[in-house]
Amino acid sequence: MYALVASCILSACATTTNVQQIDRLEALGDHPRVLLMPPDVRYYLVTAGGVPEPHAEWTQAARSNVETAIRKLAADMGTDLVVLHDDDLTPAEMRYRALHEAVGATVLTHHFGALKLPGKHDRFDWSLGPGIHTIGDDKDADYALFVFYRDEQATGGRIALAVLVAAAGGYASAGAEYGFASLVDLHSGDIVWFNVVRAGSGEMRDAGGAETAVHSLFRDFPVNSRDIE
Amino acid sequence: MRLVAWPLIACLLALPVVAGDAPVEAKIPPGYEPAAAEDELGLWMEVADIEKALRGSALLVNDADLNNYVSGLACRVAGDYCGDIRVYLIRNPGFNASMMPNGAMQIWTGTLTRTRSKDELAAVIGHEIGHYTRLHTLERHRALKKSMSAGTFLDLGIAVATGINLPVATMSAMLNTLAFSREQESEADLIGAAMLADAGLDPHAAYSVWRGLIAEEAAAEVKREEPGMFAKTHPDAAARADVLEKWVVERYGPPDRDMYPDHEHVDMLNRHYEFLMEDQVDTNRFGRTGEMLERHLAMGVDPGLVRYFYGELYRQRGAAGDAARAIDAYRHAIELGDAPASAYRNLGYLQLKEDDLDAARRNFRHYLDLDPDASDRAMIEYYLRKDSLEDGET
Amino acid sequence: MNARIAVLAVVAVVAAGCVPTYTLVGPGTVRVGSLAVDAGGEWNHAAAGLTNGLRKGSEMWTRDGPLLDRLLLIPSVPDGAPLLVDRSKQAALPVFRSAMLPNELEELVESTLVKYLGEGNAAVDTSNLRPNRFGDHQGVLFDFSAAVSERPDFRGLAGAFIAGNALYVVIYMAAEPYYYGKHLADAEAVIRSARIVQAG
Repeated sequence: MYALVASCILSACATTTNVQQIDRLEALGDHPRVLLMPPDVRYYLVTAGGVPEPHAEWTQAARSNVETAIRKLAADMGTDLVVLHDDDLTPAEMRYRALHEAVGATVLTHHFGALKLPGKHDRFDWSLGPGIHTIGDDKDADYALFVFYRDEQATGGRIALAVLVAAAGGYASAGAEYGFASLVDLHSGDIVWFNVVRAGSGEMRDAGGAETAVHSLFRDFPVNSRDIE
Repeated sequence: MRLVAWPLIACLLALPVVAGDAPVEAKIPPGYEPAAAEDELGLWMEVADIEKALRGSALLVNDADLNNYVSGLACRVAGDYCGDIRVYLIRNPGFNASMMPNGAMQIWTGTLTRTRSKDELAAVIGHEIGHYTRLHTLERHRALKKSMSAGTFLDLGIAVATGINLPVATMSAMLNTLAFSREQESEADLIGAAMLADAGLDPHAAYSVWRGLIAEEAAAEVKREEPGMFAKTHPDAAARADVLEKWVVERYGPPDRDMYPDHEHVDMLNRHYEFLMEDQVDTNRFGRTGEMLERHLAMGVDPGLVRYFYGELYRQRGAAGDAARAIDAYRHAIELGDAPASAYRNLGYLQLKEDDLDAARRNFRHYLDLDPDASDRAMIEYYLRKDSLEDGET
Repeated sequence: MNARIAVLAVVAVVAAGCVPTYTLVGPGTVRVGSLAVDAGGEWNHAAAGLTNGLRKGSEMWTRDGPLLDRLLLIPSVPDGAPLLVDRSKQAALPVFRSAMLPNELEELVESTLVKYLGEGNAAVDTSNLRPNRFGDHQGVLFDFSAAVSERPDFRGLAGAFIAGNALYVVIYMAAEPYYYGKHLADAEAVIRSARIVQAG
């Protein structure tokens, strides 16, 4: 039910999946440092009844693979990455994570999704605000990276149902994947890069698939300024 | 997470909860961690996520005094299980204490105002620990996840898409809407009562706390208020209280002392009464609130504070004759000496409505004297400046 | 529970063939029933299908999206009615009474907001109650803050006045950090400009 409406609203009229405000990472110091906030990744199993059930093993595997893949990608790109875990977050980091959750959901719905806000005039200026610099100062970082991913795997029963419903002229989701990666400039709080991915981007439950998925998530990620020279 | 094979857990089954013959045996030992059963792991992971959210929750009560009182009591009741339990005090005027399968216990502030002694509060906690040691929490969690769809609002594309403000569907809140079976409830009753006795607390509190909750529901019913969490999840509460009383009296003899007043508990309530009762009055459920205030007076909570809240209740209820009742209550609270500054202010507003401008202004001035930093000073000074109230103007 | 109801509501709307939308309001004076406000700039007005729980004739406006900021414009609440619509009949919403004084209006909005944000999931505190003139009518302004489970904190500003025995309320609420401050000046201007206009 949720996958159905979520994917309807997300996919209707969406032509772009990427917002790129900057071409490269910049820093006051030598190397730009990026703070990786704990990725919000969940795998669900959708039964024939349509209720998505969280799947622990898949979710644990995905979270671990995603972290590994992101570390590897960052190393390949020569980007300094600082990985934060849930248990280590300061109160300020938790507040900004909660705010980013709301902003990310807003971007998915109102920028990429069908529910446009006409007053934005297609501008992408969502921000977490300059107050976030305290986190940058505290961790000596220039950017914060947020990753969100949901994957609902349909069981055989669910797929069969989807086929039946389609034959009768209706639409029932046979599963849905969607996610985004978002890069926040810790000096201004602005979201400088935001990438949405949808179905078929990669299977995070195994290491190889996670690398593919991460490459997809991080397509067109801004490169280090020192690589440009 | 250390994985223990399922058959090994079964061998650990016969571990008594209490010294001597146990009423019902615990199914899990202290220090338990889940088996490799896939769904159990999954549930622990989910509740671990919920517990993380609880730790960062905006509704978590951080007051050190309240937390020491509640956690200290929980540890005492839990005995050997003390190390497995983590208590989270949540700002919510309803009655609730519930445990997640991993030992995280939520207690709502409304539980504190509905218990007459620390024994009764311990009874509620012990009852929940009983569910935990018998794995009822795990069984219920399994049943629950079949009946709802989960997670943060990001998972509900709907909420996001429509801007409809949903109460966030956290499992921890939903846990209360699914009842345990009759058998599970009576097991928890017995374990809880035995835990009280073992901890040197009064086992008679195990049934007296339910009687208090039943009385509150009866008062609510009269006013045609909706059944609360307790009634929804304990439909046969009265019968169970009878059974439990009989069992406790047989095993421990009749109550041999008056449980009340319990000074330690009453002192705790006095120290935090405004914080705890403000949210209760705001629920707009006046039948219940009235029942609770009556009980607090009988318990020996500071009468100035209780009378003040009677004033709040009548004033907000606003039924025929309530304005006069509220004025009396505020006056009474003020006479008793411990009324909060807002008693004067709220009395003043009522007097404004009665066109008694002089009395209103006296009380408004007194309010500002007592609370010079009052955030509504501008509003009060507006009334102090007015020569009279014009027709139709507030 | 509410999640299910909300889902059904939206599925019904979606099934009806149209996805509800936001439309532009402002700048300039905007009428919301017999209430008029100076919008001061553009706002995104949510279609009725998106505002479950609001009375007919009430509106919700936003700049950056309702999860981040919103303005609620609630005109003409009659004596004996609550500020919101409670379809479940379980919320015990407090009701407006035309003899209410400022402290009661403050409490009315505070308890209503708790229910709006989800009873048991939110705690609301009000402060800085002060008098304010809305056109020809004397009313009040006050601040509030809300702690909501699993969401960013909200802060807000409310304006309320009584005219012809009916209540008019305009509420601004937005997420912290950042969003509350971002739109406060504009939202406050909208609230302070609220006034009654005659029909016709």
